[in-house]
Amino acid sequence: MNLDLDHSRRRLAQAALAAAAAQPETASGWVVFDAIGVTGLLTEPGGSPPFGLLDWCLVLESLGVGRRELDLIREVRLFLDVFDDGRGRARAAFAAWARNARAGTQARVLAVRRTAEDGSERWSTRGGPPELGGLPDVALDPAAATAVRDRDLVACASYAVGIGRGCLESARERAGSRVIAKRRLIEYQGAAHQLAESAVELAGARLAVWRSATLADEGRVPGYRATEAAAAAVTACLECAHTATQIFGAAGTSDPRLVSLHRTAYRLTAVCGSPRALWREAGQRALAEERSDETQRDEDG
Amino acid sequence: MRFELDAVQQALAAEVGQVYESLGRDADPRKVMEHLGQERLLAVHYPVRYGGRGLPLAAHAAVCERLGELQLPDVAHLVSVQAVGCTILTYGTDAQKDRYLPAIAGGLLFASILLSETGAGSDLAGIETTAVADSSGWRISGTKAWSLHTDWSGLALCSARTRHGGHRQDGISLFLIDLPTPGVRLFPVARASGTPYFTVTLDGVHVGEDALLGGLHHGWALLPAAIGFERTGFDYLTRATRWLQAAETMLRRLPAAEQTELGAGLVGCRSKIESARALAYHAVNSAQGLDMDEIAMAYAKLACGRAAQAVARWAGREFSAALAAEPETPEAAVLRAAVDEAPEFTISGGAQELQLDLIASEFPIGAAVR
Repeated sequence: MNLDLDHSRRRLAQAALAAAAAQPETASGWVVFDAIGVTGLLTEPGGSPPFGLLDWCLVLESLGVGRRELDLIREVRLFLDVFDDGRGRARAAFAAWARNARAGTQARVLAVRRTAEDGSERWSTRGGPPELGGLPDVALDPAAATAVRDRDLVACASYAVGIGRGCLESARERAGSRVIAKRRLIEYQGAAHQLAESAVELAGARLAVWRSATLADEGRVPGYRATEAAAAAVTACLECAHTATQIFGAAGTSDPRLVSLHRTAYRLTAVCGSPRALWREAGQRALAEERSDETQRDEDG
Repeated sequence: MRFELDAVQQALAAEVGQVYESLGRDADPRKVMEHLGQERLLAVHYPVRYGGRGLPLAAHAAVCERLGELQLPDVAHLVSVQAVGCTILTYGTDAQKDRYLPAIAGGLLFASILLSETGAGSDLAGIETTAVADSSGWRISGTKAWSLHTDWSGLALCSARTRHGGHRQDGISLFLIDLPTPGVRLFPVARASGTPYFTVTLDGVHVGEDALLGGLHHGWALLPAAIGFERTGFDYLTRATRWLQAAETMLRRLPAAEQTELGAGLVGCRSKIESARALAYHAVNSAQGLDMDEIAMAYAKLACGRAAQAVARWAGREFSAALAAEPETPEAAVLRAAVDEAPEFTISGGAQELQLDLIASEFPIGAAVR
């Protein structure tokens, strides 16, 4: 068991932070991602995608730290997840879209999904950006559709971890510099311990995200762990947002950056689900998966 | 990144299991520890000459985890091999290492730490125990508290004040006391659950000059390491895992609708345990030899303690009727003990306030665990 990121992943995470720092604050997550310089890798024809879910999670956490807009980069990841069959056509279309996007294309939706009652899905690029319009529809059976939704959930969870981290780092900086009654705020246990409790919660959430992403990258089904990761991440993100606002005090409700972080944390409950709903769903899925495994074992003998 | 044990760790955990099974499940735990020691499994991170296998600390962690899973005396092992043994290994003289380490690694010698006093628990500089030089060594007098498995121990690591220096931390020295020895008396103090604590009185206990560990008056500098060696949280982690297994067994006896109601709590506990386990291994993996990052350790210890407490509280709340029912099932017995034992986990082995201070002190916060 080892949490150390390998050299290339460590560089990727650092590159994402550096790219975010170099871009204007208004630049979207997609613009920052494109600035890292890995878009070319995603569009190379042939071979398997060089980017695993864990790689996406590292980048998305960095985007969350800088509260970059999530929607378009999420669309990009979903598009590649569903349409990229490794045969090159989707990658070529995506490369054309990326070139035009750099020149100012404003498309917000790359593909549309329709979900049937049995949980199967049909994805279509018709009506989306013209560069992608010629791609055939993709049909996913219920299990494949669930897997796509789970990977999307884990990716969004990593963004939530990033938002939480942004809140916490800002709060720690504030607590280290703000002086009250001749003592820095961090020297008061009430403030220090609130920061530390949030940090422990966030570390646990990040590990839940990384665990699910690693399972997906190894070709195993994360199952309930995807929902668990999202539940842990959104829970931690909200706690970190509250901690930041508390540490900043009145400044926290008047500083636009803090206000934005706080609001983004709450908006994530619309993207991922509320903590209560996520934990409940994770529990239901875990029990159902275990019953299914038991039945399978009984049938096997 | 890897969320499973590596091949060496898996092999060591399997070896521990094989020794345990070969002796039968009812074997005396101390005999089991002796056999594990004969196989050089109790301190695999010690050098070969001292009874180990010269492996990294992370390999030893896998052994610790397996000992806990098998309900072997993991706390006694942790204190003996880590807190006392590693302090000797790091700061002891060659003679001290030769004398004690092979016996500790061999499972023949258990050791205790005599650092806390009733007025100096987490504040280890507040001790009143003294050591006064005489013609052939030192006379130690005082009262130590909150010591575990002292009745098993043939050795104690004891702090005492050897001078009143310019500040509270100056003038503290560490001594190795062979037990039993004249002047040492043990008084058990019952705990809500588990083996008792011991209050240990030292009445002019004589030790030789060779009992001094590290520099005279400068023991304070050694204390963070001495305590740190036991602060990875694996003892808490294995309890958390065992308690959750018992809770899951009870959960599966409930009707399906009630199980569904409890699913969220179950997954929440699992999530905490798995993340705590990853943090504990991260702390030992990032060690330079025996030198662990104190912030990574704080995350690990706190997360492991909190995970165990979360399980105990959840099970105590949700299965209260089953815990009170007669006759008591084995799972109920485990969980009742859990409810009693869990509150200690944010106190023993380092008060949580100190761990929280350490975590908050890092800038940027969280860097030690990503």
